[in-house]
Amino acid sequence: MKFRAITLITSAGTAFATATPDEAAIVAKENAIWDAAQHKRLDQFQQLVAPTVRAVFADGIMTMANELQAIPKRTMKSVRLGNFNVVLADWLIAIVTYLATVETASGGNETSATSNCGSLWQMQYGRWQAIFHGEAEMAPASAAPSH
Amino acid sequence: MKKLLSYMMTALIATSAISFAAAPTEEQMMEKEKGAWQAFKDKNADAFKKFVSAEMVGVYDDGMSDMAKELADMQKWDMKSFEISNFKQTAEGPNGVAVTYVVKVEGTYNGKDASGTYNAGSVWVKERGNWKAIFHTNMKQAAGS
Repeated sequence: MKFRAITLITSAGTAFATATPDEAAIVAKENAIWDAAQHKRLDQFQQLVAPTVRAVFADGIMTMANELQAIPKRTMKSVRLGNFNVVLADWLIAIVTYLATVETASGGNETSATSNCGSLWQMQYGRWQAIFHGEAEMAPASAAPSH
Repeated sequence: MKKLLSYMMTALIATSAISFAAAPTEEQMMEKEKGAWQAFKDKNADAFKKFVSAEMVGVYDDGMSDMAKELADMQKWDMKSFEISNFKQTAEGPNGVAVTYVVKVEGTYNGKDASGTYNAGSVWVKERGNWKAIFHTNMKQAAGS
C-alpha cells in the first residue's frame, strides 16, 4: 500500500484528508450494489456507482445507461457473495474481488451460476463510488486460461 | 500557517497543471494496453512490469490473479497473435483512466486451444509519474453477444 501525496493533492473534489479506506465498508458497499440490482432499486444503484462506470461481462461491455436498462429486466431469486478480498491500492482507490452465486428464475426454469467478480472503487467528491466492474462466470473446474 | 497554506496552494496549482498536462489521449492509452499484451505475448516479464503495477488484480473465469500469477501464466501461454478493437477510454480524474475493448486472441494455454474473442477492460493509475495497469479483466464473449 502506498501513500501518493500528489494524488491526494491533485484530486480536486475529493475529500482532502480522507481516512484510509475501510475494507469492511467497501465490502458493505459492494453488497449494497447487488442488493440494489436484485431489488431493482435504481436510485440506490446510482448512489453507489459512478455515472461513468464501465462493466465488462461475457455478453458485453456496459455503461450506466446499459445497466439501468438491464436491471429491471433481470430477476435474481437469490444472490450469495463470498470470498471477499480487498486491495487498497491507494488512499483513493480500493479493489475488491469476490465470488457471486446468482440464482435466476425465468419461465419456470431456475438456474444458478457462480462468477468471479472484481470492482474498483474510487473516492470521488467525498464518497466512494464503483467506477469499474468485471464479472466472469467461473469456468468448469476453473480450467480455462487467464489473460 | 499562512506560509504553509501558501506553499500548499502553490503545490496544488503546480501539480495540478502537471497532472492535467500529462493526461493521456485514447491513442496513448491504447499503445500502453497493446504494450502490456505484446510483453505478455513475448513472455517478457520485465517489459510487462513496466506497464503493469506490482499490485495489480486480475479477474478471469478461472479465478483471480496477481502479478505472480500473471507471470506464471505468461509462461503457459503460446500466443500467436492478438488484435485489439473497439477501444474506449473513460477518464477517472487526473490520475486514473479506465479502458475497455475487444481482443481477438489466437493461441494455446497449457497446450490447449484458447483462441477466441474476449471482452476486456483495465484501469490504469499513475504510479510515481508512470501509468500502470492496476486492474484487468477479460472473458470470452458469450455466443451471440
